[in-house]
Amino acid sequence: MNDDELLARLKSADPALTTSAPPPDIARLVEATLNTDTDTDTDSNTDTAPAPTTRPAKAAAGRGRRQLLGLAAAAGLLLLGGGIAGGIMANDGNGHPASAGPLTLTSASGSAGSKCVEPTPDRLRAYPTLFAGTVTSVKGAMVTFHVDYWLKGGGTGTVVLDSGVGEPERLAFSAGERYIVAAKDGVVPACGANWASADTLANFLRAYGK
Amino acid sequence: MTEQEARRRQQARFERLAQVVVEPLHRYLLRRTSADLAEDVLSDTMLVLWRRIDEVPGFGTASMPASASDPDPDDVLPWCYGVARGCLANAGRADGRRRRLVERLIRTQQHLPAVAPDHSDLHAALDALGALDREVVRLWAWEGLAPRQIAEVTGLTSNAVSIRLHRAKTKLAAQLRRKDAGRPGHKTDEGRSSQ
Repeated sequence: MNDDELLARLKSADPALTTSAPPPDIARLVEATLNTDTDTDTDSNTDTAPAPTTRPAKAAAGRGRRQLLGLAAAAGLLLLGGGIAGGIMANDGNGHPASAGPLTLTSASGSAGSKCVEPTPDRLRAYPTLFAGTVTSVKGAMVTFHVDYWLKGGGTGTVVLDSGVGEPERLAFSAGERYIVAAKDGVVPACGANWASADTLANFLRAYGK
Repeated sequence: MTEQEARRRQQARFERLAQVVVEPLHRYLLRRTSADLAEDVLSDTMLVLWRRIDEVPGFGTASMPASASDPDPDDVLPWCYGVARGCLANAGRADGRRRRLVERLIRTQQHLPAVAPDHSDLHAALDALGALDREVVRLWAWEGLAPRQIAEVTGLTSNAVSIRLHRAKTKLAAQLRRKDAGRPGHKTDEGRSSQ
């Protein structure tokens, strides 16, 4: 038996020829891979190290990526918020609730996410700016609140929140609804703005002695 | 912004790579394990390829792509086979005994006369080889790789591959000859005509 004969015999016994397995769906596989992977940079040195039995876990991966985006957005907004924060603190300091223009806040992404747990007075106590307000208008990313109660801090009766990071999915505010909004340094943190039921509001008012 | 853009570019690169390597990788795995495990290991393999996409030989890097066109299978496949081989070994370590049982069952199934009447001898002969020799032979015959490429998959030197391949082929041929000779009722066209 020479080389060619051996090769032919081996080839005819190729299990891939007789398999009944369906061909792989490349597009699905690519999508699953990209969605599974949340951190491309780690782990790149270990030889052939698949993540611990990771099977495409779409939901988890999506969340991971959103968190990354959120982080980036938050970093940017922190810079932006700095200037505004100065304004708010000045107000607090001199004890004169500003009668000039409305308080303007920006939001870290996801601040009005529907996945936030119900706000509690304790959780939001750390924020120097806290109010319960009713949304009077939503124009693009700009949400205007009529402040019903200042729980902490203070200011005008109107607050404008720039909720936009250009991502419509985050605009969870509806006009006419009441929200409890917390902010620090002019930035509403993730889950810092929450729709408030009458019970929640009563709870907050009690907690803050209003 | 640029980060997002870079990621999109990487994703496009990965897609091009996938178009070229997924099917050969799937065949590679089907030849060595069950269809189910092949699919799982294929997912693992793709994950590793995505994470190490800048290391794929002949595919450039994100900042300096080799070319905008599709990668050459001859360039990228051996390295990717190597990754799949590692992932398969990992999966094997995870549940080696179960897998071996499954493999044996599958092979038994494949050896049923209706499916592949003539190949049981061949598989037996392959099984008689050492694991690395067997892999070298399979890479040569089924994946159709040159010794240089087999070296890239296995981490051996080209020289070592050539020597191993030569010896394994000799051994394989001898084994098959013996089997054929030992079964007169099962005469094949050995040495006369090529199949």
